[in-house]
Amino acid sequence: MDNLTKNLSLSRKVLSNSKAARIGLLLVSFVFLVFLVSLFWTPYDPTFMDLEKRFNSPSFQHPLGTDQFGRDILSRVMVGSQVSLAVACSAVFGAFFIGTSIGVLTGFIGGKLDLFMTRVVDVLLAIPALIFALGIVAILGPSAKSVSVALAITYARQFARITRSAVVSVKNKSYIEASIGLGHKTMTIIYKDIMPSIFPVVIVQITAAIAWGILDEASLGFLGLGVQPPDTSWGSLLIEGRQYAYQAWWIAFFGGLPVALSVFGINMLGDGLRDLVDPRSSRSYFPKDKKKRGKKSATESISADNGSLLEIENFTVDFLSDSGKVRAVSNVTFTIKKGEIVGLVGESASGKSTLAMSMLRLLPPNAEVVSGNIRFQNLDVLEIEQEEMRQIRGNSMTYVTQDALAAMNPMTRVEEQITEILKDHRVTDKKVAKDRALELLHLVRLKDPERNLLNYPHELSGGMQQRVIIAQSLALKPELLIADEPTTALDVSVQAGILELIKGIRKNYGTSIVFITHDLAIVAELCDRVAVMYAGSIVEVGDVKEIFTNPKHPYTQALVGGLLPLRGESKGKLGVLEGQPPRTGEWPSGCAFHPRCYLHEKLGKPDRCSSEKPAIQDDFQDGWASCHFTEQRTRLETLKSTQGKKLR
Amino acid sequence: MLKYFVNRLLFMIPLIFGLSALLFVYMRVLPGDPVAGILGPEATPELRAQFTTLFGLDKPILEQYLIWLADLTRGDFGISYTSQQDITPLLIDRIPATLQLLLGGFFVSLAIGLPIGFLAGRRRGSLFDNIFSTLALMGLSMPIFWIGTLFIMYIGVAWGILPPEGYVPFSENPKESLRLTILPSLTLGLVLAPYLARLTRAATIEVQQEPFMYQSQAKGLKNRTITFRYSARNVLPQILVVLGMQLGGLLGGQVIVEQLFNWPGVGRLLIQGALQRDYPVVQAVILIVSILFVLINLSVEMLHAVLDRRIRLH
Repeated sequence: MDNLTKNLSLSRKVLSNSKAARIGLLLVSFVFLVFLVSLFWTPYDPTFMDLEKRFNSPSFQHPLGTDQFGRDILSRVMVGSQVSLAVACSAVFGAFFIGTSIGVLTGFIGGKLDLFMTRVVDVLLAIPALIFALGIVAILGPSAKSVSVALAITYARQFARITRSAVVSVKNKSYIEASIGLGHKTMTIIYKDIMPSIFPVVIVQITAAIAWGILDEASLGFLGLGVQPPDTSWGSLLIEGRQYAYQAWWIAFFGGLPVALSVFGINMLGDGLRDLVDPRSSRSYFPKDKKKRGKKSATESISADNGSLLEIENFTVDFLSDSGKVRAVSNVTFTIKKGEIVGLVGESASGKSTLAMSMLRLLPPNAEVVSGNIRFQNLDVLEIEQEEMRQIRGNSMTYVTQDALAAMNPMTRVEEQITEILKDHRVTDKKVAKDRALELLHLVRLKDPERNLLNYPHELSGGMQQRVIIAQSLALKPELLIADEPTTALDVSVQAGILELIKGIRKNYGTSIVFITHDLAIVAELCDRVAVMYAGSIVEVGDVKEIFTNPKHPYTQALVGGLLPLRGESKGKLGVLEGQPPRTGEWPSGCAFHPRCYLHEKLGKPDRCSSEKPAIQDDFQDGWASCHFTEQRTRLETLKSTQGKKLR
Repeated sequence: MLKYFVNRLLFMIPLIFGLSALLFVYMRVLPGDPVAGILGPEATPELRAQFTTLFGLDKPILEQYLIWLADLTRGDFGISYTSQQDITPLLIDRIPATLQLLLGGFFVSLAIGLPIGFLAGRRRGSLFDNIFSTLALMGLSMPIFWIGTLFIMYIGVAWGILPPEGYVPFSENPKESLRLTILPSLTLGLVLAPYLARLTRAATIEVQQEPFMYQSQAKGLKNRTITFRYSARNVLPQILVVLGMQLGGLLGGQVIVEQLFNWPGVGRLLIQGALQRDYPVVQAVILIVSILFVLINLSVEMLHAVLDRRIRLH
């Protein structure tokens, strides 16, 4: 019963989620209806020959025309459905029974039996399906029954293989091991624990097999190996179709149409099922480079040349998901000056990476810029042409990610990874590009550059990979380097080297660097300024010394005081700072931090915190925090000191 | 690398032995009476006995198998029950025609399936994707002999663009031979093309989500570089992984297309054999086709190893 309701809800989900599945079901039902009707009624007797009416083209009396004996094709198609569907369904039922039994038993028992059967099935699968079935029909003799037996054995191979691997993959799961440990009977475990968990795989297989069944029955029928005249199936109709192809198109055309329609219906249904069962068929995150402006925002333009390289103004991004719009970045205003290193810190999902992607104008396709401006070297990043933006990327604005290996094309050598940037921007000479690549590898202090130039990314160590990525980003001496947690995946000793390298880049090239990280120790060592993000907003910006010695926002205070780890969950009660970072789209009203804020608590939970969003920074000045109560410096100080004492 | 290939080739030997044994067993274990099938139910006991001794059917099954195997190693596939001819020359005669059609069909399916699947995957959700994904699904729902018959009816007869049937060996008249191959190849190619398109689309979408695809944009590479060097080059090995098994469909389709276009290949030999219950012929053709299938899979695997340096070679 439990299984039944589960299956019912599964099928409901398939139908409600997929238009294709609904069309598929409609077609399948139609075919099934024709089959049912044919059991009781056909317009004419399908075997009645009327030589007066030979080769009549489709007309009102004979909608699908007549054949070489004057038989009505519509009636023959209807009756043909009986054999075709019966053969296909019985074949699949047989295959399911034989194959699943073999697969489940061998997979569950394992050992030598499993090894042997797997080999046998593998060898049998070396024979192409239709040819395998042909061989069996050859032995049993041509008839509808042999076809159905032949197809059952043919498909059983696939069922056996697929269910076996499904069983093996669930067998070691703890609940089944527990069941075995409890001494349940093998059959009970198979029936109660294993079968339900491999059900999705099996159902997809069954759907596919019915489609093959109809097609293969038709094929074998067409080859003369299926039902024998005067009986009809959809396949045998096509023999006549081919024979009289030169004079009566309708026999061939309407002979094949029902097969195509029903198989198409089943396949659509199957696709709907697979999309639901197979988690891989999820959304694509390949970024779309389009001009992002949603609504024009009415902000004055930023004054030119005030020493700033990149200016982000009142910038807001939403993600469109199935459940509606979700805000990822909210009213961010922020400036990066020439030649400075800015740390961008915050918990996961606080919007740091989305902000970084926005600077490159490479947001996922479901992202929408709601408001704001981004200016880079006085160019409107959100408005310029695609080609212009491409010229900026990799040239004056470059990007370094956390997972260096994944960010490199596994199919090309280190050399090409670097030279392709040069070639696609301005260096056309091959020799020059290669020399520059080598020079860059020297520059990032990669050991043995001449040899490593010829290596593939996976042949390098983690630290070396990160150096290659950095070398790529330096290829054209960028103005701005965006580094998204470049050291998180590395060992501490390797980390130090990379940080040295980044410091050197600023020193030698005057490159501005946005350094996104979880690690405050790195920020303290590396950065000039810090921007702290919480729930999609920048809550505090300031000089690095100022942030560490005199943090103003309660959240920053918590970070700096080590009350709240940036990574992972805060365990247990840490004073009043408990709770989890809010998830994207579930941000609390007012000041998003207020549910976790000690200041809010101390001040007696003023309504203002939960009802009114604190002002955002609007003057590009440092030493500012997005909190209603920042101004009450004295009060804050005292609270902070008492807080500190209490915890120490 | 070389060691790996040699190992894989050596592994084929037990596989072919296993195949021959299983094939032989399954031809004998299933209930069927070849003698009655050939001589008819009314044959006299004397005639039956004569037939049985002639083809060695009175010996124990194991001995029959060993004799067959011994003959096989000498390249002798035995004698046909019905025509009493040696099977080996018959096969050799027909293999070129089969290979010609098979290659034609393979190229057609690559030429159609790869670009469509790749473009649909690159532009997932676009109009192009929607149209061609539906077409691909329709393509794999249509019986091959139906498409072929329609081709014969329209392209071959009604519009008279290409000859509807016939075969000339390539060695005799290359131009005419190729002209006659077009329509059957197109038909056969349409068996695999929709599968190939779907596989390619899925692989492309998977590659599209890789971080290096994001990085390729962040590096400001030209669209052409991204499409070919990043997308296509990473999609190809992924397709190869699944392509091998799918080629079985092509071999099955081959049989039907040969019948449809009266193409004198081994496929029609198989059908004749099956209709007349000519066991030795059926066995021989299935064995040949299966070995071909295994060889194709092996070459695909090797190509994959060459293309994708990350896979570890044992």
